[in-house]
Amino acid sequence: MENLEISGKSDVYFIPEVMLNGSNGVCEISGESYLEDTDEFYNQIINWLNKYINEVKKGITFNFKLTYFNTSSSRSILNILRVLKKYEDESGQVVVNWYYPEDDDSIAEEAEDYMKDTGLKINMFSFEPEN
Amino acid sequence: MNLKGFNFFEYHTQISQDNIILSYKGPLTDVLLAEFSRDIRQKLQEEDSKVGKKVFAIFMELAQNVLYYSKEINHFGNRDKVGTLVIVQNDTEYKLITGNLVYKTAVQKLLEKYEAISTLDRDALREYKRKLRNDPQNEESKGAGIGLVQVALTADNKIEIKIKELLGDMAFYAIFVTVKKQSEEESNNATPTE
Repeated sequence: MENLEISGKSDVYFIPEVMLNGSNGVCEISGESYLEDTDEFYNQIINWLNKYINEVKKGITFNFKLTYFNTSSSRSILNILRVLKKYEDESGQVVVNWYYPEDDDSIAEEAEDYMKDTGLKINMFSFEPEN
Repeated sequence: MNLKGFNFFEYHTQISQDNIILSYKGPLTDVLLAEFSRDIRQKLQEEDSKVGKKVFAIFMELAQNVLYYSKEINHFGNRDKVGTLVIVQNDTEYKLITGNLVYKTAVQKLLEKYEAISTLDRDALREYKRKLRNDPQNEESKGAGIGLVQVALTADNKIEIKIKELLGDMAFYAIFVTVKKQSEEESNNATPTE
């Protein structure tokens, strides 16, 4: 299956860097997320995941490494996590790693809230963002 | 309209104080918002990266609210939404203020949300945000409908809203958010463990 790659750019809108690997199931979204059409952007990721789940059927490791996202993006991230949780419930192998900037408590809190919302286990790691 | 009440020189003196970081009233576009937010981020993060990021994140949510929901339209040009964005500071805090027109029919709902936000403690506020985020997206909402709740969480402070009914079917809706420069979290570093 093909990879989904989107190069990140913070200009008028903030497009996160996306790398979804169709051969080993390692996925990463990083950078900043504030988009003109949030649903449209994240639906690409969700569609890719559904295709991977249906066709490749292997494990998925999803790494979130965002340094900023708006509330609209936070709803879309929840939707991604719901897809992953559903896959896990159907005995797919899922690992979610959540990297939060060490000076940003609210991004760390988000992961805790997502765990409550979805029932997924999310591994949390702090990191020092490069500026 | 009563023009006597407006003193341009007084207004100019007010907005020329050096404690004003941003004062804007006019049509708002995504390009303009990007310019403002870039400046704010650069300027404030030099002083204190943690607090600067908070102010930036709050500003983004508030300004997006104006951009999505303002009912005042600039009929000149591209029919952009009109709003007011202000950031001021003193030695101990930043204050962010945004204002825009809303329909009077929307006021009740705004007040209800505000009531909820202003009475909840931090944990209950997180709970409330999760509840709103889990609800199906309502049709008018371009965002997640949780902007104001997130603003209160990020500010870690009570927010204030004021609504002034105008003649006709509009009301002026203003939001006031205060961010402390010296965050209390530094003494009790409550970051979650890995």
